[in-house]
Amino acid sequence: MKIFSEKEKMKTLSIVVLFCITILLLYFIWEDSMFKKDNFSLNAVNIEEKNEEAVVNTTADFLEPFRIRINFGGGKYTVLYTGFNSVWQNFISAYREASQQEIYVEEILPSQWNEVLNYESVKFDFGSNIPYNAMAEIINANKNQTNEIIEIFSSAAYSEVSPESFFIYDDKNKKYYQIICEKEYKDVLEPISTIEKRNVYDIYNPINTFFGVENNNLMPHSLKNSVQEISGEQEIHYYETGKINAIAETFFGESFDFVRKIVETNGTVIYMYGYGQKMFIVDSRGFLEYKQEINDMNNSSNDYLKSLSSAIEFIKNHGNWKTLNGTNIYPYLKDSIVVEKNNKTGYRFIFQYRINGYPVSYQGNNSALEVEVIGNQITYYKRYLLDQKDTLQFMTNSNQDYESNVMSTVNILNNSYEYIKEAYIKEGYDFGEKSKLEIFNEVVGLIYRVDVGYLSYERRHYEEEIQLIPVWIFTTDKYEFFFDARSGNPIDWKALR
Amino acid sequence: MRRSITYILIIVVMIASTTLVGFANDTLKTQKIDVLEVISPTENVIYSDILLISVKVQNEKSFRFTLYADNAIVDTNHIEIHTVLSSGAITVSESTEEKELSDNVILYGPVEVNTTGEFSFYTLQLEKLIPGKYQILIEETGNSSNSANYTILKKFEIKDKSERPEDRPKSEIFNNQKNNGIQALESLIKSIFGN
Repeated sequence: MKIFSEKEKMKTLSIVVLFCITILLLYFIWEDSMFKKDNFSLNAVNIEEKNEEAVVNTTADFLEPFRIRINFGGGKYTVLYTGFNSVWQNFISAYREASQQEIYVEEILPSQWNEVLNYESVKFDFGSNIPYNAMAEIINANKNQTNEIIEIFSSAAYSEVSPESFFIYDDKNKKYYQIICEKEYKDVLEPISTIEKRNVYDIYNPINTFFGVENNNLMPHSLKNSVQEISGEQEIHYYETGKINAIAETFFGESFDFVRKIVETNGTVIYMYGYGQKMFIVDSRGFLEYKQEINDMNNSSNDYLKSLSSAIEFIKNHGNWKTLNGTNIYPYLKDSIVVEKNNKTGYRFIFQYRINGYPVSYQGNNSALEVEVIGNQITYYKRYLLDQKDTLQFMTNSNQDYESNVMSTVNILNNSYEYIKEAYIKEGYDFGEKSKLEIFNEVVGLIYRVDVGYLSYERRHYEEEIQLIPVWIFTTDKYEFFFDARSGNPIDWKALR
Repeated sequence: MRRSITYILIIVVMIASTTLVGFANDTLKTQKIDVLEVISPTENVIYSDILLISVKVQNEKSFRFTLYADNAIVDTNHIEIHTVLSSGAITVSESTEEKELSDNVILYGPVEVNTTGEFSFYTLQLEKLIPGKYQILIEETGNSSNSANYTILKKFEIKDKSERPEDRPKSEIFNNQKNNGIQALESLIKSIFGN
């Protein structure tokens, strides 16, 4: 009996040991798979890109920030284009709660805004000209007095320096505001420690630490990822008659039978209703353009949200938020411009999109999607989307001591600051009689943002191929300058809208 | 009378010569510093686990760059060092001329940096730094011989960000704003009722 008991004890012990080993092994396997997931992620910043089901493209989706600047504290900064949804959600729920209580709005100085951002903080950037009213409505915040004081919601910030405050910047009026609340909302900054621990972001430094000039705006030293060019193709060609007819029909509806179709010698297809009351054009480069005359019965409207909602719906019904070949795009609202036509006002909305989490820019004044809404009419629609031919573009370097193929921003400025200088001179800027170093310092002082992205560059190699070139984008107060991220060569510059 | 004039003259000459020497010395120093200058780090203590090193170089120069870590710092393998590629005004190549510093190990380098043009910047981004003491050694090298003719030794210490003392009490940041508010109110009252 005693022997049996000993055996039983041994068996129990073995089972316990085996169970523990199983747990341990499972843990190792699980941890290993997590590790692999991080290392082989195709995305540059381990982005939480929304999956197909989640891509709803509602008005609220477009009023989300398209970029975040994070100060982890201790002079450690990063800038992310995606993967910060948790911080934004914390911000809006805190702001919503705060707005239900007693709050006090105070205008602050630009120097105070900068000082706030020198501490552990987050700053969200939004498409231009979003009225504060519209944003408050979307995030369900009580408008109270804030509504009357702040006109435009360009950037929002939260900092440990004043945990009972929110900060808002109005870029149109160049005004900074502090919204002082009854209690502290430290939860807003909680998710940034998770982002910091993931360590898959690029470090940004204040520009003065690179060059010793007066400029606290941020710039990365380089990129952790190697970058490759992507081949793109226009979503529609002038010879795809069936496809063109199908989309043309969506603009004219029942009156499609009364529409004249003109095919020009260069391939451009024009559909015209009446004497040009409505026109739809497909040009040989793949641009789709729709124009409609303003109806006399149309009343102008300044309702931003209603206009934005109309624009979103119109795109959905005229080509949709995918390319015509079904490729998903990840759009964001870049600009909202107030327009006036025939004494009627409205908005022109400009949408861009991201590839691998990075924004895609176009040459000249082109954009991916552009919709003009005046009153209850869509008076203009332009669409130029690209289908990607390749899928693997940004490679995450698993090697810690890596050497990326991306040119350092420092080298680019060092080699090509004169490109920026020449652009300013063309536009009438006078640098005066200065040494090269003094001009360099002046040029560097003009830079207020440095981004990485893609530039759509047309027909560099083949007739029907468009190159999406990885670029560094240096934005100054007036212009955007594009430099090839690998060679560092200047490609293009354009005035900000 | 004559004696006092002589005394005054002697004093004036002494002051003038001292000032001139001092001025010349300052100019000399400025010129020297301007040729190779560490833009970052400027502080001796850095409360972060990242650091940008930036060296400003004026005129065509060659120098050797080495980064050292104190022997007491363990596990330096995890420190990430992001370098720049050779480009345009700057060429970076490996150097075999190691200089040992007591109680230190070489973390990066030595590398030979050659610059062309009127100015350029040599930069390194360090990440995942471990608290402890570090040193940067920059030795100017002549074009014909490799003898160092100008040297910068920059020492700095990395500490955890939680140890950072406040530069200025946080509550003071918005003090000016209240003053501005009062000022605005004052100016409003003045504009209504006159001075």
